[in-house]
Order: sequence, then structure tokens, then C-alpha cells
Amino acid sequence: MQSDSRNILNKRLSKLATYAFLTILLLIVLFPTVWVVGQSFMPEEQILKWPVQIIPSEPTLDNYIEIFTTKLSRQELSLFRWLFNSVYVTTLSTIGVLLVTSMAGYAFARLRFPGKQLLFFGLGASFLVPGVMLLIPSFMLMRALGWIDTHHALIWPPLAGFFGVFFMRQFFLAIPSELAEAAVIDGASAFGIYWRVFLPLSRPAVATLGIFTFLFIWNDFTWPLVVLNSDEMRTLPVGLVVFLGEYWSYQGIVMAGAVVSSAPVLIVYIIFQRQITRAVMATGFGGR
Amino acid sequence: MKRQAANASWTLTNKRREALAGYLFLAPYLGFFLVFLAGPVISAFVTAFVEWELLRGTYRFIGLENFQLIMEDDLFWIALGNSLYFAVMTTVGNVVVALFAALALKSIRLGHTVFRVVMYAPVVLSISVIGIIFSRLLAPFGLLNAGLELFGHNGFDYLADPNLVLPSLSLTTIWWGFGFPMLIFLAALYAVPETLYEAARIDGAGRRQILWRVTLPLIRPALLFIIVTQFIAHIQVFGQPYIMTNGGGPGYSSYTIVLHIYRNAFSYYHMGYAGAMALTLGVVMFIFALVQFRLLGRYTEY
Repeated sequence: MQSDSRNILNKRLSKLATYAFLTILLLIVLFPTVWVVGQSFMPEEQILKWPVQIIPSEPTLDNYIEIFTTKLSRQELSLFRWLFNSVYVTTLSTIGVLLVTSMAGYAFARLRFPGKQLLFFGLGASFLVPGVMLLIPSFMLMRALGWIDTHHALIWPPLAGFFGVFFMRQFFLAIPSELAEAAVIDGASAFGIYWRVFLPLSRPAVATLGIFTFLFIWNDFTWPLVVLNSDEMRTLPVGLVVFLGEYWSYQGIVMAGAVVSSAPVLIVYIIFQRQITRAVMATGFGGR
Repeated sequence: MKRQAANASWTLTNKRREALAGYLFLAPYLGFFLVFLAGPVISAFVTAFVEWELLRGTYRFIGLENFQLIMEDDLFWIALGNSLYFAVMTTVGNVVVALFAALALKSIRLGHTVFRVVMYAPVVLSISVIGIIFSRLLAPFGLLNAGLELFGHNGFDYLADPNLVLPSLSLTTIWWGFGFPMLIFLAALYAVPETLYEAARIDGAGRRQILWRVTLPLIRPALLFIIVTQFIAHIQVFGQPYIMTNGGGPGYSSYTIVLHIYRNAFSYYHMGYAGAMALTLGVVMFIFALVQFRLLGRYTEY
């Protein structure tokens, strides 16, 4: 009896400790976020106060108005230009990745042709090549193609990534073959089967791959830093760092910039968190 | 007989058509792969053995000279040491935090989704946002020192102190990224059959014993995967010092190997030399990954 009640007490205590630990982690993640958002709505006088203020006493949109209306550098540019560049590059590249890698994934999952296994593992070996080794040769390739300081340099190279091929192949493999056979009997061509049977059935996989690709390209820092050098071509992450360099002493503006550039990805993440979580747990991709 | 022959030729052409379709479906991807991945990989190996000065336009084969230069380049070794230190610290930190977070998450129901969603959220942010936020947070009059003042401590100048700068960048990176290994560990923990825990409990195993004797051995593959991939990712650290410490300061205390490669390639245009350093780093990473597999993968049978 006594040991039973002690057991229950122990269990309760350990549950309490678990929640306490998770709450501390949660606060460590949330607190800086709250502070950033708070400061972005503060007038500069309140930001300079010590100790640090968390909640704006007189909330203001001045910092946001400032970053969207100031002309950046000597050109007639605003943050809108970088936002547009990011949206443009990310959208086109993501569509390209989805089309090209889903077709290749379909071939590997559903069609028989000589050399398939060898090719699959050969392409898969590209996973082993670390990014830093590709930086310089890729830059030289962009130079040779005349793509330095153009958006081509950001749009096309992601289409060579093997992850999409692998991811789509896994999904296509799991689709029952009866469905494809029915389409063959109906006289559908190979492309017809892919386009009208497999692609619509794999909408969740396409969406997940699309989100991953979107996040990856939107957030990329090193590559756009290397291949773009004029202010009007930059994407948001690099533009922000360059721009904030000039405004470094105005913390409210810096924070507003951080909020503006992370809002799109956070919105995408919150909408699709279930798909993202599931895909990360199933494939082991999506980390830093 | 006749019918059989007709049948055979029918299947043959069908087979051929399928193979043709396969190649056609692959063709676009293969084209991009050859141009943007296979080509650069080959040229990465060639570049390491040439003197390639973009500004002077020289391009000539010099054998191992670049590697000799690396041997004499003090900054290379300082930067490599910094990157190794950073990678070890960040990998260990990430694994520990993520493992405990995953264990905690697995044992709760109420609020599980909220905790999980919030803790993974920083992973989707870009390094530029992380760098901007944390250089403010770690500034002398930033959030962290304000917090310390509550406890009567004067705080530190985290990013300007040569001894604190790399640990500070590492903590920033753990804040940014621990959600990813957490999800991987969580997936691995869910795959452990509940009966094993019950059996261990019936045998009278304590909490710590279960962790060391049951849980950790069973999620060893995930652990190995995370340690190797985290190490490889973090030894290539670049954005954090580029944004937060003005490219490696104070002095060279946070100057990393990828910063050194970046500077040689894109500030001085020593393409060959930078390429040789990138190849060296690639080999170093490969060796470390092998060692990690050897050390950690040894007892995979249980």
C-alpha cells in the first residue's frame, strides 16, 4: 500500500519536472521573439532605456514605415524590392524543382529501364559532397554562364538537388499499382499516367517538398551573398544584413526588419506545421 | 508458335517503350544534375591543383603547391581550430538539449503539439534574422545582460570577448537549430516498442538505467545520424560570424574555416588556393565522419 502511494507521488513529481523542463525551454525560445516584436513597435527613446523594456508603452508603427519607405543606398529602392526578389526567385525555383524532381522520381519508382539502380546510387552519391566544396566551382560556373548578379544564378541550380528525386520516389513507390494498371488499360501514355494519376494522388508529398524547397531557397544566405552584388538584385536575407549595417544604431528599425523578413516563413510554417513535422521525422531532412 | 513470337515482340517493344519513357522522364533532371552538380564536383578537384588568380587571369597547373601553402598558412590552422571547437561544442549541445526535449515530449500528452511546434519554429528562420536578433541580444546592453542584472550580475560583452565569442555563437546556433534533432530523436523514440520499457520496469530497472540500457542503445542509429550530420553542418559555420562578429572578430577569435575560404575566394580572388582549402576541409570532414561511424557504430548489435 505504502509503496503504491509513493509510486503515484513519484510519477506525479516526475510529470511535474517534465513540464517544468519543457516550459523553461519554451520560454527560452519564446522570450527573445517577444522581445524582438516588442522592440520593433517601440519608439527609439524607449528602446534606449535600461533595464531593457519588453512591452512598448506607446506602440508605434514608425519603424515599419521607416524600413518600407526609406530609399536604400543611392538607388531608388525600398525593402519591397528585396521582398519581391525573394518571392520571385523562390516561387520560380520551387516550381522548377517540383516538376523536374517529381518526373525523375516517377521514373525511378515506376518505370523499368537499364541502368536504373546504378544511376540512382550514382546520383545519390551527391549527398556526400559537402556544400563548401561546391561554392567556388559553382561560382565559376555562374561566371562562365554570365549569370553573376542575375536571378538565374538563384533559380536554376536548386533543380539539380537530389533530395526531391529521392523524396518523390519514396512516395510514388507507395502508390498501389492497380491504379496505374487501370490507366494503362484506358490507353493512357506514360506521361498521362504520371500527370493524371500519380501527380494528383501525391498532392501531399508535392506540397511538403514544395514547402521544404521554399524554406530552403528563401532562407539561403551564403549563395546569394556570393553571386549577387548589386543592391537591386539582392534577396531579403542578404539585403537585410547589408541594409541594417547602415542602420545598425537604430535598434527599432533593425528589429522591424527582422520581423518583416521572418513573418512569411513563420506563417508558412504555422499553416503547414503538421506536414513539415511529419516529413522531418520520416526523412531526416530539414535541419541546419 | 506464331502467336508466341508475336507476343515476344510485343513485350519487347513495350519494354523498349517503357525504357525510353524512363530516360525521357529523367532527362530534364539529369541535365541539371550534370551541369550544376556533377560539373562543379569535378572542377572542385581540378581547382585544388591549379594556380587560379581571377584578377591577374592566371590559370596553370601547379600540382601540390596549394597544399604546401596551406601548411604554411597560420590563419588556416587558427580557423580550422575555431571551426572544430565550434562544431564539437554545438553538436554536443544540440544533441543533449534535443535528446532531453524529445524524451520530455514523448512522455506528455497535454500541450505536446504546442511545445513541439514552438521548439522547432526557430529552425525555419534564416541565419540573417538569427544573426541580427542575437547580436542585439548578446550586446553589452542587450537582453541577456538585462536578465543577469536582475540577479545582480554586471554581465559580459559576449561577442567582444575572445574567450566567450565562440561559445556565444554556439549557444545562438543551438537556440536556432535544436528543434531539428529533437524531431529526429522523437521519431526514433516512438519506434521503440513499449513492451521493452515494460519488461525493463518489471525487471526493476530505474529511470537512469532504462535511459542508458534500453533507450539510448535502441535509438543509436538516429543518434549516429544526428551526430555525424550536425558535425558536418556546423564545421562549415559561416553566417553566424559573418553577421555577428564582423567576419571573425575580435581579432581572429571567431574566424572560421569557411570565412577563410570565402575571403580568399571572393575578396582576394585566389580561386585555386581557396579551392584547395575547400577540398582539404572536405577530406577532414570525411575522415571525421568515418571516425564517428567507427566509434559510435561499433556496438550497433544488441
